[in-house]
Amino acid sequence: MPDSQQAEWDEAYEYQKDDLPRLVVEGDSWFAYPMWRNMIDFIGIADRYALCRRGESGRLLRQIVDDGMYLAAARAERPVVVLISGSGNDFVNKRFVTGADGDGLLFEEYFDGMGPGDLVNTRKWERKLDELAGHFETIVKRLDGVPMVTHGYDYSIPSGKGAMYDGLHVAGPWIQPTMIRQDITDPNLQLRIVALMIDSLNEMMAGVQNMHPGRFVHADLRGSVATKDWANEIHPYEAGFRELAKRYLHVVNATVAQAAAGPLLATRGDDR
Amino acid sequence: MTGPRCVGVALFLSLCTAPSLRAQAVDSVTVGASSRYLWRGYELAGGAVVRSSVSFALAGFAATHRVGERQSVTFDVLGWNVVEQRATRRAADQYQASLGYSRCVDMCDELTWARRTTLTVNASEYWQPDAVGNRTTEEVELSLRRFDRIERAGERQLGINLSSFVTVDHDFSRFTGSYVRGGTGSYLGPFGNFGATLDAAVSFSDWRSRAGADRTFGYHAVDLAIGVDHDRRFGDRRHLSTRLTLGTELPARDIGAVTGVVGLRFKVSGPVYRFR
Repeated sequence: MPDSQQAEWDEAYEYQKDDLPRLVVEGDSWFAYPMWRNMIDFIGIADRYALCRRGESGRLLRQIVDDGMYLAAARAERPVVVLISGSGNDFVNKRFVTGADGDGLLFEEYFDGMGPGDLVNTRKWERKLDELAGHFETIVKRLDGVPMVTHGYDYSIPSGKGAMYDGLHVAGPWIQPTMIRQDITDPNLQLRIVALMIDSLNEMMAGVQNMHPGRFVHADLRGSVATKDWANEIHPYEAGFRELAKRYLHVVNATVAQAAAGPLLATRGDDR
Repeated sequence: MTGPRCVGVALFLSLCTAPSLRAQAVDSVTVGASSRYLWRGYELAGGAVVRSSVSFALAGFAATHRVGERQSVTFDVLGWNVVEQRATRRAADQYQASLGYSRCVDMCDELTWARRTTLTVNASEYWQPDAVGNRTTEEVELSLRRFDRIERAGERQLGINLSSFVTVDHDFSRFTGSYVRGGTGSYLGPFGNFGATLDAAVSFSDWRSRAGADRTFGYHAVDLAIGVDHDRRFGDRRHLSTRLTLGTELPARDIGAVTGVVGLRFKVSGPVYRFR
């Protein structure tokens, strides 16, 4: 019996890889949350794929790209599809949100009449979206034709609740405290700000998808998690992950079927 | 036919009749050392002990969750060897060979061993080659292990993992009695390659006292341990797990004295050979 999460993943994969289509999976906590079942745990229960899993909670998309674990696994295991969950921690981390990175707070100070679009530090946010799009482009290029499926998270709820392991705070919260610091105290406005950010993240991903049809697939998971199923600012409870996994699996199945039917050779501009 | 031999026959028949068990040889090799030789509340010899084991997964579900593969058969060989003043203490050396049959009884669609509820029966033979008197004993053990996660209490997020167990052992020669141990533990992590563990257990028995006097069934010991784990993959598919533990044992007065123990163990796990 293995002792670690990664060892258990490896053992399960070793047992299944000769019998089921292989997927390489790397991601952040939405794919690796250890305290209760996460999205990929539910994908595994579907028993359709052998999952070569990498990653851990707190992982940045930048780290996924720089470390290249997904790439080494893809080269070694020859998966039909690669699944990536990344970008959330790149913009929901203390340095970025609170301005400890030297680039200002993520949110502007509230004055009467201001809406969500006025309250996000546009320059900082758009630069982050460009950076993330660049990381996804890098992954697509490196995978050399193997399709990848990612997702743009869901509308989380600024709650002031950080992630807890064994009853101990281990990460966050940063979103709501920073909003309150900027006098953004209306819960409804806080929700609309997060929705704006999640929408623009998904739009960015849809844009990358349009540039790489069949090779970069964006799963739109918005609206999957019920309000009661959010555990903290960045993680659903198990019931939320289950709903996310249902929608994500649908997209993964379609991508695998398309990959099996034959790779799309279209690249930038080919399909227009 | 003695009890353990009956269990051995039952295990063999179970293996033969189990529907389409897929066989594999995912195994682990463990070597560790503890500052005190504590074994079920008894301090068997003063000073440190080296504990080593080899575990073979002969057949069954291993880590897979696939329907129809909810059973496993394992074979384990373990050894405890005193390392200080062996000339006078080597009588406490012991070896164990154990054949076990496990069946998942709840959460069987889970991906990992740790999250299932598993019922296991083990038949073991112990040898103490340098002991005075009875050098062997047989033991049967029934154990139930389960995993619980407590997401929240009301509106409050908790995120608590509990890995709990109850074992019932019966020894046929050395102690000619029963030993029951139950406990729970929690795992914190992973944080990179590291994790932390916290474990507590309480045991009851009618085993003889340290002086050899018969006892009625009652409190045996409490043991507590905190640990730090480090895991790294090597090669394509094997793992080296290192665990440092700090524990204490609080046995009944006629069993022994309160003792602290520091342990360090290395475990290599991963498939050596897989066959169908």
